[in-house]
Amino acid sequence: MPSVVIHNVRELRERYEKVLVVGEGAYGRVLKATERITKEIVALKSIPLCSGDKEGFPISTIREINQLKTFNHNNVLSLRYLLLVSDTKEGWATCSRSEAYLVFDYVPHDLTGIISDPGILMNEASIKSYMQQLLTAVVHVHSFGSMHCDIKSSNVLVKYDGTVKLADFGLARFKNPNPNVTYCNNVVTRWYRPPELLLGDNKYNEKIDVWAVGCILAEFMDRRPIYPGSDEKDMCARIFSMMGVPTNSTWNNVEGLKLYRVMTSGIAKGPSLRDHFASFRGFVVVDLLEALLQIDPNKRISAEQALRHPWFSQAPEPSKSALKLPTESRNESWVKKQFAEQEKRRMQSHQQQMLRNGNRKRSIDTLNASQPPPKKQQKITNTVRYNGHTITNTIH
Amino acid sequence: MAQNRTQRDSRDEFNWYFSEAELHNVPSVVGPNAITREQEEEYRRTTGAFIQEVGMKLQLPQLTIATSLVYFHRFYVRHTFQEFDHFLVATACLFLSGKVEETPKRLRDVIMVTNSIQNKNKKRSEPESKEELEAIRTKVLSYERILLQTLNFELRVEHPYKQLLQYVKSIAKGKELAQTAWNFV
Repeated sequence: MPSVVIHNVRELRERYEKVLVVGEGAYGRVLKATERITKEIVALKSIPLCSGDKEGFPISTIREINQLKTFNHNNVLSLRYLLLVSDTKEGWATCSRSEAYLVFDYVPHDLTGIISDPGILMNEASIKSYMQQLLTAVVHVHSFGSMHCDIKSSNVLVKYDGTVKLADFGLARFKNPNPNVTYCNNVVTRWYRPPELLLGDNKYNEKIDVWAVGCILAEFMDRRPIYPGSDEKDMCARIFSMMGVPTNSTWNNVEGLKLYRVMTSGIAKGPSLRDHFASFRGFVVVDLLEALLQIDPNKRISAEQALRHPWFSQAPEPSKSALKLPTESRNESWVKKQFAEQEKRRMQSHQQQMLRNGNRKRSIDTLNASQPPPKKQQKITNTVRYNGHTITNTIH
Repeated sequence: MAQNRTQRDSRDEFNWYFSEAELHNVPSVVGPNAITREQEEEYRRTTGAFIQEVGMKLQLPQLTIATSLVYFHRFYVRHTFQEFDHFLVATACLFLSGKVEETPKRLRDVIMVTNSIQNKNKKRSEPESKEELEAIRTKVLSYERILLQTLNFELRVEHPYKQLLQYVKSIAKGKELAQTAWNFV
């Protein structure tokens, strides 16, 4: 299979069938399609190339391609090939409406979908396997001096057979050997951002990925995200109320970080991490979780150390087939769709309620009595069904 | 010639090691409008010096300049000097390597410098008009894509500088030897 394939727009239909838009990324669409020749299902991530673009081929895509070409690991989603498309005879290089696609194997599930589906019963052997595979992928990435910078449950894909594939290297960077080099602080999706980023650090290292892996382990245990902050300040409030506000004596030079003062003011002490996971008292997994979610990056364990944690060698043994996964995709867009439908039903029943109330407008005593209870019940169903992803929005 | 190229591609699709014979018979020196081998070498020498000069004026690190040089030499193993203007290819190489090595320069700035040095060499003092610059910009952008495609998007290049410095460190102290050795690479 050549690594770069060039096509005219019309030839695309000969190459692919069953083309569907499955996602809208930060900078382009993601399509799902079946290759006619191989009958394999692929995901195509589009890279918009507009001729008005002053700086040419986007540096973010150059980074992503360079990262993907570096890795070679069963738990890292690999680039099958690049597809270059132009819609005229001019050719890809000169055409003003050219497109480029990164083509990957299509992987049906992701951890957001698996964790959110109440129909899937979790067990320790499979969680252990997913975590082990994820950490192995992260060790591989870190061994090249690279940082993923966007680990979250929806970027951890899972095949039908339970094989984990770490995906989306759109923000990944190679670390510069010079320790004084600064990086963009605005990386990692909010709920998975580590304290050093929230405090404005721009000389961070690969430990940011380890924190995100810790968030995913907590998400497995709770079946909902552990720090679903509504903004950066709320993130800090949630993390520091659990872990305590760091000071120079607990975390070297933390008070020198740019946003330290703003982010650490007015934080009330809440239940600790161990209190939060009280139902897991005495389980080794809480040790690992604590080590991954260590707020000081210097004390946080590395991905490699995490893999050697006793939890992985203890019974039950990791098993990637211990969990029966449905044939239908369970991923982030499935969760979103489920939530949208739920929301629609809620609105409809609310409207019906209003209509009924409207018809009875004249009898004053029914007006106040009938409305609140059903509404409250709806909210409860929502929170039960949508563990985590919307829970904070619906509880009042 | 086209057939030759496909043969090479299918044999070892993107291997950048070539035999002496292959390097002697690069596309520029075969075919109907062939240039002589000496001319070809001259092009490589002068354009290489040009890339080095522009890179230094843009204050690009040597590593980035070295990457552009590798891109440039690889480009003309697959294409001809007759078909592709070597100054524009050089500009595209510098522009792309800046992004790959995380030392990006704005395209406008790269073009300003390549132009001024080109004009100096041509002993022409008046700068190009706005329209001319715009035409160059469009061309470089399309050359960048041709370059990406030619390089098969294999953009990471390992350079011997790191090994060199380690070796020098192991045999001698002081910066002098390191600098002298560096200049040879």
